[in-house]
Amino acid sequence: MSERDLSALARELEAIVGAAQVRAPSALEARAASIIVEPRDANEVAELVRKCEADAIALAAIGAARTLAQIRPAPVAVGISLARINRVIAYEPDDMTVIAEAGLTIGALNRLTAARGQRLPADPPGPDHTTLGALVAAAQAGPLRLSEGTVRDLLIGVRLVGHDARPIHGGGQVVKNVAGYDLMKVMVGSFGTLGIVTETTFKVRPTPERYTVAIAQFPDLAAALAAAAALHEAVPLIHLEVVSAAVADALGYEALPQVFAGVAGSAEEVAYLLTQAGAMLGSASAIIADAEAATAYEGLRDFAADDAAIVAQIAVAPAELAACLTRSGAEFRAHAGCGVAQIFTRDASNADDLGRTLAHWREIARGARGNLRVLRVNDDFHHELNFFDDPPGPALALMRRLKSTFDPRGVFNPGCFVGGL
Amino acid sequence: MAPTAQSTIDARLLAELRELIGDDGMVLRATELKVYECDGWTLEKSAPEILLRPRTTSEVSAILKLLHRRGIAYVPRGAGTGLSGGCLPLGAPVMICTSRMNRILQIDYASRRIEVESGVVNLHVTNAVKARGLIYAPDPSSQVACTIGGNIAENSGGPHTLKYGVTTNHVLGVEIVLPDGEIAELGGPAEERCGYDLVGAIVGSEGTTGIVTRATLKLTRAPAAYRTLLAIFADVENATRAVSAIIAAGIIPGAIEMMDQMIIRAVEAAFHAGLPEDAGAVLIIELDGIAAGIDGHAQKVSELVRGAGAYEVRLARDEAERATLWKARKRAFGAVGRLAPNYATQDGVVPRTRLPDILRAIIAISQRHNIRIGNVFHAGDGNIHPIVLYDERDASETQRAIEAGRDILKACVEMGGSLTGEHGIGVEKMAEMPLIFSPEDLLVMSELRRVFDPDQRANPNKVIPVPGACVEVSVPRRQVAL
Amino acid sequence: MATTPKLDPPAGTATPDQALATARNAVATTTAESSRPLRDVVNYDLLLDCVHCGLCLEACPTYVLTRAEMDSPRGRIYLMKALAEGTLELDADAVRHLDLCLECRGCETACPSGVHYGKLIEQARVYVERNYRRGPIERVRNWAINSIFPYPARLRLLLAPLRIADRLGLRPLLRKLAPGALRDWLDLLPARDRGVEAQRRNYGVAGDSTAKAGAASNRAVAEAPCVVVHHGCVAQVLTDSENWNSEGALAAAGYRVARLERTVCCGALDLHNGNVERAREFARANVSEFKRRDADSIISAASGCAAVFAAYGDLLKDDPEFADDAREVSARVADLSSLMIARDYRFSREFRARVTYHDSCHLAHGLGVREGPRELLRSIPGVELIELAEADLCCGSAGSYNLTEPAMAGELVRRKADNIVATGADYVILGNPGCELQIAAELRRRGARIRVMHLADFLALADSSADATASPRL
Repeated sequence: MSERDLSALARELEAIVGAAQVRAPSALEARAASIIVEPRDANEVAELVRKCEADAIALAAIGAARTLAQIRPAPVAVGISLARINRVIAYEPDDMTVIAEAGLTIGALNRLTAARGQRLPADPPGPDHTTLGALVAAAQAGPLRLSEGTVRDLLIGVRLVGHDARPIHGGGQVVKNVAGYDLMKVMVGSFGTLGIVTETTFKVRPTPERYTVAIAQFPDLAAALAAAAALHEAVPLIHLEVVSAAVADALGYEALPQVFAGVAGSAEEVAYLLTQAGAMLGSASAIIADAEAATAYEGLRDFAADDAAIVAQIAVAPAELAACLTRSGAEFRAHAGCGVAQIFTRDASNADDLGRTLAHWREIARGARGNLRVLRVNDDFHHELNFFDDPPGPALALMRRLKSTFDPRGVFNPGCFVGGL
Repeated sequence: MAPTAQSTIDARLLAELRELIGDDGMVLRATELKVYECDGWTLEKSAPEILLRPRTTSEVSAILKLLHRRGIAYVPRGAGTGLSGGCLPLGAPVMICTSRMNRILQIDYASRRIEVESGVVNLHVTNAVKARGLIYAPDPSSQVACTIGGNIAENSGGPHTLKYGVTTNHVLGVEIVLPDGEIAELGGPAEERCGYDLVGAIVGSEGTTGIVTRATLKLTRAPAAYRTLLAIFADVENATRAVSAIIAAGIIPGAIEMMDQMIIRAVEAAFHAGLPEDAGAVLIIELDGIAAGIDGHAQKVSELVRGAGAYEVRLARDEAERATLWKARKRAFGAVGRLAPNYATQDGVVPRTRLPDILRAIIAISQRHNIRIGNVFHAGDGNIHPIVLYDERDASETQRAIEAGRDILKACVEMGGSLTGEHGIGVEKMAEMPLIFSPEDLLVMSELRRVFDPDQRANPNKVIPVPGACVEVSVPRRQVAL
Repeated sequence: MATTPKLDPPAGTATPDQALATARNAVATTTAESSRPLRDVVNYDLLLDCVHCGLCLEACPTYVLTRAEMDSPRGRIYLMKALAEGTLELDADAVRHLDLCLECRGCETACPSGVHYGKLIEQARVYVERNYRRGPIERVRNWAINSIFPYPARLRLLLAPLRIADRLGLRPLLRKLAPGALRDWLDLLPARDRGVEAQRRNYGVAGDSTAKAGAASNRAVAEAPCVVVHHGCVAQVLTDSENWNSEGALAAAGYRVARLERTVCCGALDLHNGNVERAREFARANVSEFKRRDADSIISAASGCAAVFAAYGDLLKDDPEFADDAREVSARVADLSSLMIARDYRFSREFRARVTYHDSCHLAHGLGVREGPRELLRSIPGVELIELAEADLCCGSAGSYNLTEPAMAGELVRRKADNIVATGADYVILGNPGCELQIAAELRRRGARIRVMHLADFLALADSSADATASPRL
């Protein structure tokens, strides 16, 4: 779209939502969208969708700007910022449910629920810049996935604006509900390609009374991974992170493979679990609690390997993860027990290098009946890579049908998801 | 019997099917088909014209390809323990039963994964892995008989969903034969998926997206210790308030089940489980987890329920006492059969904090319609199962029972709840879907279904109401609620 | 109802409206059915207990094998209901699926609603026998079963040639010459020595000439509770050691053992085969006999018989002359293990063996006895009890079932034997002679070295107090 067309479009958008609601993108957003609109409610979102569908203009919710900036080959014309659609509609602590608009960040939500000793235990990196909408769209998870599951296990209701500007809702505000199809699952991890999520309903969980981390370092990766596997088998943990030497170094620990075993619960439970975990980790382990533990956890959660040439997420059967990591030769932060790890390398000087590395990793993941998703690549190369695996034929055919059904005019964040959807 | 307007089953089709799965895979005789005319939902009946009993995915695929070519609709069936008529043939002449596909294919203990055929019985999964300290967590009360395929279709729950989640939280991958006969592998042993979460869309789709032939399931560590408490209250109001008090204190028990006075007395009359007959309500609260600290939690729960008005709290002293309590709970429905010739069970959900309100509403409905209603349900997640007692020989009482059932569902919806927590929509509640979903919502759902089944030949006429097809239900629901 | 926009009709069917209208109108017919006069198939009120939940399915041996609804308890109840309501005629298919029921009553254990399935199937079989004409072969076969098995003298007579053949080592030849079905029957019969020994001794009281002396010599015994062991019909011919060893064990545990003057068939065979009138005749004879003995407890080494004694109260409830006594008899039915445990019997000798336990149907499902035998076995020093997979799934013996339904019975016993072999046990212990013959035959066929023993025989073997003398012969 030319500059002139864009400014014409901006004026048309201003006519819909008002001039104050249309702005130029920030540096981060610019790679994702050319014009940013900040509607005030779902009705305005619907009007914007109607406009874009009528004129065949691509649009995307921009809450996941970081992700979109990576995976989009080119910016969409219209970025929908839900920054103003960020109210908490209803928080019912005794029901352990919360209804909140998609523009609210996880961090803001959790500050609210903390007063009642609860939290939304979805913990992707950077809760203060991850909106609920982005959480649903990109479905990133963190260390707590071992004990609390991921966003797909926590989302119980959703409202979105679909094609033809239709307001759609699925699920409800009860924790157990089998009425109708599960639209929540369809939206989770759909990267905004099926509509604009405006409101979410989540289960929240009690924040454990105490949280403590046992940290152990190992001379080599094999020992660390084996210790983690044994620990997972024997002790119920709330997280079990294994990091390679470079990650440990970046997080401020000794540059050796490290295992972070999180235990939580009452004082008695924590004491017992630490004894168990400590016995298995041996004398090399250290126990940290309270503020120190919280800091360690945040470091793990937010680690993003910013200086890497390429970061990918590998997901395989949990017992296969150690072998996959070893074969990949990559640096990593692993959610052991879940079979998921973020792997990365700094060594890549050109696109060919990256391509070879990625092909190698993909082959490893496939060999373990798993998959690989590229999270981030060095700016110079990101146009040249496929961020997603290609699903097998019949699955991809279904996905194409799903996309064309939910987005018949192809306006919702098109051209950057699996199979070019 | 409900034949289609014009039968599409002809001799050539039968010959072709015989070629595909042989005589022993086909049931054609009316007497034998008769027993397939309903599942756990017995109000409506319709026998298939033929029943096919494939043994392998490739047989299922070959059958569906043939039906696709001939444009014939089918209905899938597992063990037929569903409670909403999910496998009732409505305009589907062919029934395909997965009960013979019951092999456990692979167990990966270290990864806590198991791969099974869809006809495997739920409890058999746990039985296969329990020696290694693992369980398959979703445990619907029909778990001794229901199949994993049926669980996937209905997104089954059970008493332990509050803590452990429902079926969809434990299914990582499926092999599904789509209505056109194509076999699709979706998901797998990994926790992350590639592309859209189609597995999530299929779980709970009530057999309208194809026939799941295999599934990769997550296994869960078996709890090392249990503490089971019986909390006794003077009335249901305090009992339901106690449920919220426990949750609000940050304790998530494995299960919280409630029985009111009518049920307590019926259970005592039948099984002499030692429940207090003068109590207004009891809660069975079961804590599970590691042994350390569990007594502390039990103590805290005990204090909380006393604070909420329990006048007595008993702790099961050993496994035998625990088993007695659970037997009383699980057999409660059987006992209810002694109170009246017929009973109808509802399956509604309200937010947990609204439990006192919905129970008040149920009492009011009971009085308004002059009909007895008992309550025994999964209190922990607000999933109620009111049991409406009636005598079908009394036409007026029967009618009042129907109306009471509907009023309860409406009350659930008004309180921000849902039509069904675990039994599914099936045919039973299609007519009530517009109470919670707008025409647009329903349209989107039907569009989603057509992604998998463009011709709507997979379990047609289910889940989503079809205009003009709403029939008046003339008899209340008489069934075991589980 | 609110309308839903833009829904296309499903393909391959009538329009949704038509299809649904046709199908869902069927609802009305189901309620109309109840206004039709009911056929006297079974007690209709008992059918109403079944809520069609399906929890019985996997508890049913035939469903476990065929995985078909019509071979499940729920399916059979549905057939009975349809027959009663007149929506189904008694055709060969209906009879076939009712015939296939083993009457193991595993479904009663599984049923949350307390359906009396055993009663239902017995009544349905009476209806079938009255209203369905079987083929000539089946009729001859059933006649043979019904007129030989309940009468020990006739059975002995019939088996005499086999005994002679066995003595002469001619069984293999006999087997070769026998036609297929008969060969299967033949294989069930153990060789003349089952390797089980029993002491035939009078422990007892009342009625026996030696009783008075025995009782007088021991006042404690005289005041001990009295137990009578019913020796059965087929059992006293084929597995008599179980009876004698039961008596021996009870005497060792300090019971007074009484013996019946006249032992007639319990009637189980007739009840299973729809011949309720003769079953009542047998029941009356047995009730009189039990009454004469007036024992505190009644047991049978054949749990199938014990379960029938326990049902006499119901069977004769409409017989004014016998109803009270029959109820009394039923109330006194016990089992060997619970009696032994009640006297806190201790085994003095170590017997090293790996043992597994098979739940005979009518002991587990009929009388609810599961833990007792296991507890007793575990209490024997040196015995290691290994749990058997599907321990309470029927072995296929089921009275005369293995004779009338050899194919299904064969599949069941093979499954049972697979599970037994998998335990690695040296002994499989059970509580019913039918199971013993059935399982032993299959293990023999495989050449497996696992010994199949009735609990009473095993206790005798394990316990030094029961020193073996006489060996029963076929």
